[in-house]
Amino acid sequence: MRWYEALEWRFPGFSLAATRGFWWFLAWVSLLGLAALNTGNNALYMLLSLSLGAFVASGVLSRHTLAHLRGEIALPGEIWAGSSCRVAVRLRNSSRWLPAWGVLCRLEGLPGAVLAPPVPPRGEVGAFLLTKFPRRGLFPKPALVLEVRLPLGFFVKALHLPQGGQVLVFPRLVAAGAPRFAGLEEGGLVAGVGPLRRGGEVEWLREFRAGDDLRDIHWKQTARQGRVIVMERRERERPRRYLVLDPRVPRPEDPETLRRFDDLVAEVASVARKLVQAGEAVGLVIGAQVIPPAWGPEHLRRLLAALALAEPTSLEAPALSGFAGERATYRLVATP
Amino acid sequence: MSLRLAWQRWLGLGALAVLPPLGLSGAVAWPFLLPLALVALAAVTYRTPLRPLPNWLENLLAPLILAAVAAAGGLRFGVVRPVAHLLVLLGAVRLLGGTEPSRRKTSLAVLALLAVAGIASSTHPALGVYLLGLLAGVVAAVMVLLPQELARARGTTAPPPGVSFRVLVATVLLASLVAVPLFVALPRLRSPFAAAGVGARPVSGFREAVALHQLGEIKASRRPMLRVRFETGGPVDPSWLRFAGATLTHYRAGRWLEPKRTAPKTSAWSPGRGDLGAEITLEQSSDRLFVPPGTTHLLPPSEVEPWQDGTEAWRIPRQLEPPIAYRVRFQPEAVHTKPPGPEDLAVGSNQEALALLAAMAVGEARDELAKAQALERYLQSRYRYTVTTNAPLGADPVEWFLFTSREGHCEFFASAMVLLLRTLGIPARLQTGFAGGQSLGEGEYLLRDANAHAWVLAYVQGAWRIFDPTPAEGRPALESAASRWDPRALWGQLEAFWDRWILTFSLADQLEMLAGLLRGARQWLPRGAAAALAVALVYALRRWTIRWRRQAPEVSPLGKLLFELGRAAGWEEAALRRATPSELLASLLPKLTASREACLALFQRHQLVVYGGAPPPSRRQLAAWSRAVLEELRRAGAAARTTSGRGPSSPKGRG
Repeated sequence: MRWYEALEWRFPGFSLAATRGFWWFLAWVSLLGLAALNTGNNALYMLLSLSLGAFVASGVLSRHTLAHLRGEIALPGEIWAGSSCRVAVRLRNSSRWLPAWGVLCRLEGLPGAVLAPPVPPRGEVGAFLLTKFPRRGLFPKPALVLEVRLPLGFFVKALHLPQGGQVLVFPRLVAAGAPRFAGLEEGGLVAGVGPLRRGGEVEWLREFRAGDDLRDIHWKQTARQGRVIVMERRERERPRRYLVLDPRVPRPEDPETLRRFDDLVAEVASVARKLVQAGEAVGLVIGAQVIPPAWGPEHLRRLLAALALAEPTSLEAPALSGFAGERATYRLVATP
Repeated sequence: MSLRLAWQRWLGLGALAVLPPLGLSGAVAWPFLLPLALVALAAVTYRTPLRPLPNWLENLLAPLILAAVAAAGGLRFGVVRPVAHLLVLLGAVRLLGGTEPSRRKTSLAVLALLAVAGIASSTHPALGVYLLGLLAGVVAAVMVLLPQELARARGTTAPPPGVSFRVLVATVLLASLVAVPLFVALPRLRSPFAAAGVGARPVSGFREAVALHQLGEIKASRRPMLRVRFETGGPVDPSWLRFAGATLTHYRAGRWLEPKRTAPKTSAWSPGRGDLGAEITLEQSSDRLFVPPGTTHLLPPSEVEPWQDGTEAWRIPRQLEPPIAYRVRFQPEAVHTKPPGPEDLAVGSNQEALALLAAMAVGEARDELAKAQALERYLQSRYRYTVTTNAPLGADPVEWFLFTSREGHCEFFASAMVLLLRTLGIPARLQTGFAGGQSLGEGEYLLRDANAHAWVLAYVQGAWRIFDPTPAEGRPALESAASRWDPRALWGQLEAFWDRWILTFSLADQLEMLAGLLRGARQWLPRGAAAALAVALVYALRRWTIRWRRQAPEVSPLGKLLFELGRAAGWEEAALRRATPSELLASLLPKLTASREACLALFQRHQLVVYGGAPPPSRRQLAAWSRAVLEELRRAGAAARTTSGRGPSSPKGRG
């Protein structure tokens, strides 16, 4: 336990770390004190007092800055493990007189930081922070850490602001290879309406909705009716195709196995994203969880969420059944 | 602007900032400052980073720098001066290319050491302002450079460089506020390394035998020392304001020595003819009484037997508690001291040089008085007055003053004149004590520590006479009370305060303050405790009030009016607090006929204000509605009491 943690009741979320400047300052003050003591020169005592005064002032002002700062983060809609994401940081300074100067914002446990512009007294500023989530999964939102070094940079004082809620990190994106599909044994085709696949015949016209492809706009009708009209196409027949991920792995507690399983999940997620964005109807099977084929961003999100939360199981778990072709399953095999 | 260029500019500004005290205090000779000043100016003004000198050139410059330092005096004037010379030239070399991280550290270290040397050598009151300015500069530099360094280290973009004026002012203000008590509290202990043989020592009086110990401190102090009341009752001639503490005759090896104590001699009170009387009060502890040079009789403090030592000083026990009052009778024009002897003509080792200088100074003056006056004028006009001096250890201080430094304080001037007079064959002595003072009116004068002075007694034309070779700026003058608000006087007071409480603040002052604090604490402890308790109570009450207010819902004027209506309708307080507006309205409406619309409007507006964010009604409107409803409710209540003989009952049951 660090000494300042005893003050948690008074300064919640507060942490402190000495910088190199502090050690230089310590050496400076020691030498100055020795010189003052040795010579009895009061001008040196003045310099020493002012140096120590500056030290105290630096501590008080940086503490004041932190005590009056509040911040919150807004995470992007899609966060992919291992990919940079842009987090919006909003800082509010409730101090009546002093601006918050040189505030470094970062997310606890994550790389990346941003130096916020000066926050005026009783004002707000925004900044964007580039960071990376290392792993897929559902996590509590990382705390926003505000670090202050100024005015004299003797200490890094940090305020940890917990952010409520959770964040879902999708699997890592990799270069998607050729998909390995598995069909249901009973076979069959699915008929559906989907805006994402541009093939097929025009079924009817309707008003533009968010998410529609701009290439489907019927310009003549749009001009005629004075509102944006798009062509709805109909796929006559679509195959019911699934991406199948077998979560059974040998030695699920082994870190290397986990890493390889993550790679597998990343591959499935990348393939699923590529296909759905191309307008394919893709379903997903992970163990007992089955997501039927569908289209659109919402469906993609559903697939990715399932993949983000996929956990490996042991080989004793029941095998997948009902899918044609074992070779079409994404599966880890035991390595010698 | 790139980070390197920013560093270069701030280093250049830093170098320019540390130069003035070095030059003005004389710690560094002006020609030595020139290279660093030029390089610093270039660093500030150039828009590209300055390149470092090639290694071969730096290697070539190193011995030249050492030679220049040696040529400027080397260690003859102590350690600080040559080190400062060395650092200044080194700084000029290293500042070129100072943006490179390795050279940057050297440049910063050199500048820091130079700043310390300059500050340590300065005694002017402007030093306080300079220090605050320096701190502001450091804070500004950190505010500009630190975010950029941080952004570079973290691989992020830095906000545009700038300085927050408010943060700057707050830092400097807070730092100075903290620095004042720290300055007072930092213990002025003597280090075991103090006074190590480093080749020089401060010469501040000839300590062993002269009464004026540590003259610099005394000259800076405004503490009252003597209070004198002349029996004439009016203004007196300034020459009367001279009170001797010691008369010194023996000058050996650069020191004034106290001769062997003569037989104790006391004085009896028997006023003579032509004498003037004065009552003198010592305001500080002292081991001697100060008397006019022409004193004929001394009436010592009661129960004290003063005795005269070898310096003709009237000694008393030091442990006497001030104020110590005594009376003297004196002859204003006369000087009463021992007749001249052979020791009054003794001169130090370098008699030829002194005689040569004395002969040059007196010129064509013939008689002794003219010679003494010529010497007095010569010293006053050709030498400079200063309180702080540094004489080399091996040198005779008076010779060093006369032939080398040509500046010093009153003891140097007086000692020099004594020796010069002696080379001319005129017996002379050094007398120390207090002179001048501040008029308090009605023949009363106040002499402070700063009035400490040294002058010369010369035996000319068969009598001892007083001469004062110290230039006018170092001679304590007669201050009138009216000149207090004169800007010069104010500056003088500031200087005196600075000298007394900053430059010469010592362990003795600290102990005195501590004792005062302890005395005050003992006296004020009960009251302080009571005040602290009262403050704590007020604070606790305030905290409780704030918390209670946060917990208690705030009731708007409209809400208060609804409460009033409920009370008028006979609701109990507790039931009223639990009731919703709809329930209250439902209970009111059956009782109203004429003001029914007003009541409905009132409740409707209440709902709109509370839940819809509508503005509250005007006071006039509110008053109109409430008056109508309240009057009708009261009428109904009165009618009910008349008919049933008791108050409203229906809503009571709700409580």
